[in-house]
Order: sequence, then C-alpha cells, then structure tokens
Amino acid sequence: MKTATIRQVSEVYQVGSECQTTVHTIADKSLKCFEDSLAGFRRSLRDNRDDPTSSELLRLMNGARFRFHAVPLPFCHPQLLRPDFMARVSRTVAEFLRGFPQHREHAEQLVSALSATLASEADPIADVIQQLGSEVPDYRCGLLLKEPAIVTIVAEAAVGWGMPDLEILMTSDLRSAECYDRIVVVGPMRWWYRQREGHIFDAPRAYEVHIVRYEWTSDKRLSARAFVLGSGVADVTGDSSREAYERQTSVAPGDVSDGDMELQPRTFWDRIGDSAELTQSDGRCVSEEYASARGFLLQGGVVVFLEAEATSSALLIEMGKEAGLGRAASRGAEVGQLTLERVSTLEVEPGDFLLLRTEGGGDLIPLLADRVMGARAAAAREKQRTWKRALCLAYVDLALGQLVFDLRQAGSGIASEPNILNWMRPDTIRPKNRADFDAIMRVLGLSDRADEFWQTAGFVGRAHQKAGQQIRRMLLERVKESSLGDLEREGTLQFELSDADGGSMTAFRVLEVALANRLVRRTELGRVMLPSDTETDE
Amino acid sequence: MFDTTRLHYVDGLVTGPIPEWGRFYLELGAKLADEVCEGTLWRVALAVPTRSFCASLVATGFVAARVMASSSTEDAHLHALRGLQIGHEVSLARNGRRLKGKWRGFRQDCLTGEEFGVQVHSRASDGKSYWYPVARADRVRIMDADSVALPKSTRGKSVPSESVFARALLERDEVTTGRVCTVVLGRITLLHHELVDSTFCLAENATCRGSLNDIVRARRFVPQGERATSDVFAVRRPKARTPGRAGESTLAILDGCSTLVRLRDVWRQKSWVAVLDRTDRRFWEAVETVNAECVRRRSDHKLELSSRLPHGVELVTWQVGAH
Repeated sequence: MKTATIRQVSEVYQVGSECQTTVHTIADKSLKCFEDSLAGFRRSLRDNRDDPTSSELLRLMNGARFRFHAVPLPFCHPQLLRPDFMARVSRTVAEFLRGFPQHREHAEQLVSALSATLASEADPIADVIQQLGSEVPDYRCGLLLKEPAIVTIVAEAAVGWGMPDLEILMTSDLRSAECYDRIVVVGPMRWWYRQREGHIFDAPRAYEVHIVRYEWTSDKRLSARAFVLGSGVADVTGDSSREAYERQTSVAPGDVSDGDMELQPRTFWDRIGDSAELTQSDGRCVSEEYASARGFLLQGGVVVFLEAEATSSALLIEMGKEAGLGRAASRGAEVGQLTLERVSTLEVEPGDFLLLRTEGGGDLIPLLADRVMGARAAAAREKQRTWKRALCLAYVDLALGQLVFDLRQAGSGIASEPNILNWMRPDTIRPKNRADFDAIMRVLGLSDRADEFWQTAGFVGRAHQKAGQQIRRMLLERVKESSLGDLEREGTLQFELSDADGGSMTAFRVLEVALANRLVRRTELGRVMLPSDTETDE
Repeated sequence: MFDTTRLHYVDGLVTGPIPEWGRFYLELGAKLADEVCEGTLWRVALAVPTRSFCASLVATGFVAARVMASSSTEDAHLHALRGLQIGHEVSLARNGRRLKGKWRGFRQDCLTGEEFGVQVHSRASDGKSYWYPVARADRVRIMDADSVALPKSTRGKSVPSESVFARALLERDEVTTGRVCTVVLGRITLLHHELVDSTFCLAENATCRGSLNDIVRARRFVPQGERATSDVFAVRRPKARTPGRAGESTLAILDGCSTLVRLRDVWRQKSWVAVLDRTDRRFWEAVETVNAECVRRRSDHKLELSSRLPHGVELVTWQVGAH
C-alpha cells in the first residue's frame, strides 16, 4: 500500500462526499441473441447440467459471455478469446451431442449465435467510453476492468480511441489515496459487490463513477453500511442497519434470478493441477509425496500452491519501505524503496507481491546449496535421504501413536504427529535439538551412525544458509536494475537470474487466496500453473 | 486536549489546517484517553474510506490528552525539587538504569532554558553531572537519606530536550507521561511515514515544525534511551502477539483489517480501536468479526463524541468488562 499525504487523504474524503454515480446501459442484438440461446440451452439441459460434458460446454460459453461483458474490444477482436476457443467449442459440442443427441437443436443454435457474435465488429462498451472521453478531454480518467488478462490490449486500444492518457485500472489500483476526475467501470456493480470490492462505489476514488453494462443485466447498488449497530453512513437503500448487514452477507435478490447465468468468473481450485480437497481424515496422507497446500491466484490469471504448514514461508516483495525499517532491512535486504521479507505462507494475503521461481525448475536454494557443498553434495544428500526414508517407513509401518510413544521413550521431548511429518519432509534438514535427533536414530536403529548423520545435516544446513544469502544478493542486484513502477502497475515483474543457473524469479501480485487448503503433490508446490488451467467460469 | 485548530500540516511549500476528518480522529483519541480506565475495556471500530493517518491521529489525540492530564502531578514533583538542598541524595533514571547521585540544583541555559543537574556516581560516569531541561524532572527521584560520597568532578553534559514543537503545541514543558500508554499495531512503513516523515507546524508559527511522533513518542521511532509514551509493533512480527511487551499501555490501536482479524484476541485485555479501511480486501471479514462481537456483547454504553462523523466514516463503540 502506498503512503499518502494529508492533502491526498483530504481529497479522498472530499471525493467520497461529492461522488456521483451514473449508469450507462448498452445493447447489442447479436450478443442478446447469443445470451438468449445460452439461456434456452441451459433450460433445455434441466437435470443434465452436472454432466461433465455439459458443464464443460457451459463453462466455455459462460467464459465467452463474461469476456463480451467485461472487455471493451470489438466482438471479433482476435484477442478477445483464445485462438483455439472455437476449436475447443466444436470438440466439446461434438462430444456433448454423442451423449445428448436430443439437445442437438439447442446446441447448434447456441454455436451459431456464438459464431454470429464473434463475427460482429460492434464494440458498444468502447463507444460509451469514447463518448465520455470526448466530453471532458482534460479530465484525469480511469477505466476499471474486471478482467486482468487484457489490460495491455485495452491500453493499446485506448490509443486508437484517441484517449492515450486513459489509465487502465484494476480494483487494487483504487485502494490507494490517488483520486481521479472520472472512472468508467465496465460491468455491473454486482461483480464487485460479489467479490467484496464494493469500495469502488462505497469509498470512491473519483468525482464521477460511470458504470457501463448491458441493459438486460440485472444489477443494483448495495448498502454501504458496515456495522449492524454503527452510526455514520447513510443507507442508500433505506434499510435498517441489520437488514443491510444481512443483505450484504448473503446473495442479493437480483442475483438469484440470474444465478444460473452468473457472469462473474471464479477460480476452481479442484481443476488446477493434481490436487484434492484436504479433509481432516487426510492427516496421514500428508507425506513425502503430498503436502497440505494453499492456492494463490496471481496477477495474470496464473495460480500457485504453497505449502500451508505453520513453518512454511514465502518470499514477499514489500513496496515503498523506507530505509532502516523492519527485520528485512536489518538483515541488509533493503534497497531504496523495496525490501524482501520472508513471511509465513499462512500470512500471505491478496495484494502482497509474492516472489516465485518461474524458470529453472524447483526451488533455487537446494540447487545453490549443492553448489556450495561441491563434490560432497551428493553424498550428503544421500545420507539425509537415508534416515528420512527410514523415518517414513517407520511412520507407515507403526501406528502413529506407537511411533510418537517410541520417540518419547527414546528421549524426544517434542515428538508429535506434526513434528514427525515435519522431520520426514525432504526439504527440512534436521530437528533443532540433538536429543530429538538421537531419539529418532535410536527408534530407527541407526544409533551407531547418529553422529555422522547429525554432522552431515549440519553441513547441509549451513550450505542452505549460504545459498539463501547468495540468492538474496543476486535478486537484489536484479531488483536494483528493475523498474518497480512496472511491478506496481502491471502486478508482475520478472527478475532474471541468468548468472546463477539460467533461471528467473517473478514477483506476482496475489489476487485471491483459496479459502481451504488442498492436498497437493510436493512436486507441484511453488510451480506457477499456466492460465489454461484456470479458465474458470460457470 | 490541545486546540486542534493550531495544528497545521506541511506538504511541500503548502501548509494548511488539519481538516475536519483529522480533527475528528484527534478528538476520538482524546475522548478515549478520558474514558479508558481500569476495569472497563472499550471497543471502537471505525470503517473509513482510507486508513491513512487515522491510527496515527487517534494515537496522537490519546497521548496528548494523557500528557496534559498527567502534567498536574508533574508540577508537584518539580515544586518538591525546587525546595531540595544542593547535595541531597537523589536517583536519576538514565538509559534504562537508575543511578544514585547528588542534587546540583537549577541553572539557566541560553539555548535550552532552565535546567536541573544531578551528579551521578557510576563506574562509567565517574562523578559526571548531567543537566536536563526541567521538563524531564520526572527522571529524578528524591532519596530519603544523604549518604552518597561522590568524587569531585568538573565534567558535565547537557542533555537535549524534547521537541519544541510538541511543547509549544501542548503548551506544556513536559510532553511525556513517563510510561507507554498506547500501542499501534500495523504496517511499520505506513506508520513511519505518518508519524515521523510527515511534517506539521503550528498555526501561529509555521517555522515551528515537528512530527506527530514528537507527541506520540513511539519507542520504535525515538532514539535509544529516550523516553517513549507509545510503541508501534509490526503486525506480522512476534512482538505484536505479546501484549506483555506493551507494558502499562491501556489502549491498542489495530491499524487495518488484517490486524483486527489476527490480533483482536491477543489484545483482548486492553481497550482497542480498530481502523478498518473500506478498500481493504479483508474489510468485510473484519466487519463480520466486529458485528458478531458487538451484537454478542451489546451494551448501552456508547462513546459520546461532540464532533460529527466525517463523510464516509462509520463508527461503532461498545464496552466490555475487564477480566
């Protein structure tokens, strides 16, 4: 979050009191025809909507529909949808018709309406934007989009509209104290209310907010009131505070009638990579192969799973930090207005900048640590694997309670299921205390090699520390040369680490954090998944 | 509470009075300084269009009010020192230690004004005299007996005073309470910008400048060894989870929705003010937390404020009994 001056903050309060909201409704025949066909198709499916092929077809159609409503580009624009979109639709329709030949008429009508829309050069959203821009050319204008993937394309289109100064905004841009004269919001208000981003309208950052949406889209403004028993904000709907609160914490009535035709995209974590929902009974499944992980939707529509243990951490880029502040600075990680911070994975929030390895595969630290260890690396890693493998086997063979009991009997004061799982993990080095380590060795029957394993683990640990310092230095070198303004504006920035191993790291703005943890293959942890895995509309 | 219209902000070459919204937060802090006491815990939640300066100004109002309330007892102490004979045994608080010493009386300094002196005896100081402004008289404690023998020394040292800006704004010589009375939990970068980097001045004298931290005196932002009347903890650091480190503070200011969600239970034994930014991604999560607790603990006691809520700001207050 950016810092602000008293004057800037004053403008925020002033804008809030003077802001005027205007709704511009638009229409397009071909799009309406497509949407009517889609509604008819859905109705005809009735009980077959949950079939995988039907739901995939609906997902594709709704994805297209969302783009038509959210993107101010002509329907025929080649970058509005993926290049292979129509091919995927054709494949899915063919598969669907094999299972449900009785729906042929509706399906063909739907595909035909979609093709007609995609052939249209109409661009009703851009027409309104251009008209608004021509009214007051000196205004500072922003264009708020719901779809992050097309920001660059729309910025290019704005030049063609004669509005090169138009600032393309995402919701996160409207969290600072920076204010605009006019903001054009593309899409119905409920898109933002649904994702709890109603501050666009409740704590506006522009004197004029213009909403552009299709006339058949249901929409309404919700109450800005937050506290049930609070005072201060007038309720625009005239509801009592309690009613307003209930309305905000439930689905708005306007959404229900249109529920099946929901426009808003959401992330389907279960369709990404090799993951499964984590339930309490999965405790034993968390092992060498699988880990409990949390999903993060990142800028650019990519996702990543990071281990969600209390001891797991992630590297964040903190924007705008001053010199000499914070733990990162005290470790010498501060560079001008930027610091790197390692925080618990569980603490990572939307809006943070997550630094991830995006090329070169795997975590860089073990790679560099191996270099630090040199010729002794392979032997050291093998020794580590030896006792960890033995511990995994003991974990599988013995009842968990028995293993905990045995370890405690052997002298470990902290033996417990989470700690045992932690010791088993390949990326951990060794228990902190020698007594716990000796207890493990005793239970595994490796007491005679305890000293050897302990010293090797210490050697590996020191190499990891050196590698961590090395990567931080390399990264800071790259960061110094990079434009942090780009990171803030684009929400993503790549830092090449070619000197090290030809790989790179990328800072991503976190857009969404999955509410529930999932069971994910360890090989997929930290891997940035491609956008194709996340095309997610219902 | 000081006259808030006398506080002006400085933004480049421009100066201007603190806007109405800022004066509201100052008043809220001052009101809490009056209300927060042993046995009763206040809960205040604010939904604001931007979190900027909200927590900082509430903390400023709170500390300023506490300083001004405590000044009367300080005057009595100063009066006692004025009646003390030179050479009387005293103790002096310095750098976290209390040193035995002898009272040297008062003197006038052309730069810092009136000062008092104490000659201390320790291995390091070896009989050195320290001369402090009278505003810091609370460092001296008068001892009962007169039994300390100190070596003769001609060495002496003047110790700088607290901010002229703060003294002028609060119209007090003493601008500290001698103890930490509030803690702000939030993002250090933002709080540092608001408390330390942002410049303010007096309405009647634009050259008399300072920062909110001259009043708030957050331990993290004052030089080591200087007295602090508040502290600032980074929300993600372990300190934020150990209220014991906040000493005798009675009010925790939770700056941000995440701060409230994470730490409200940890700080439940203190009164708290939560600043919830409407643009925060966790705003509604925090609001639900507040609503749930507010409805459950519903009480008839509300914080009565004389000034109007700024536009776009929502306030809810309630009381809970201390455990």
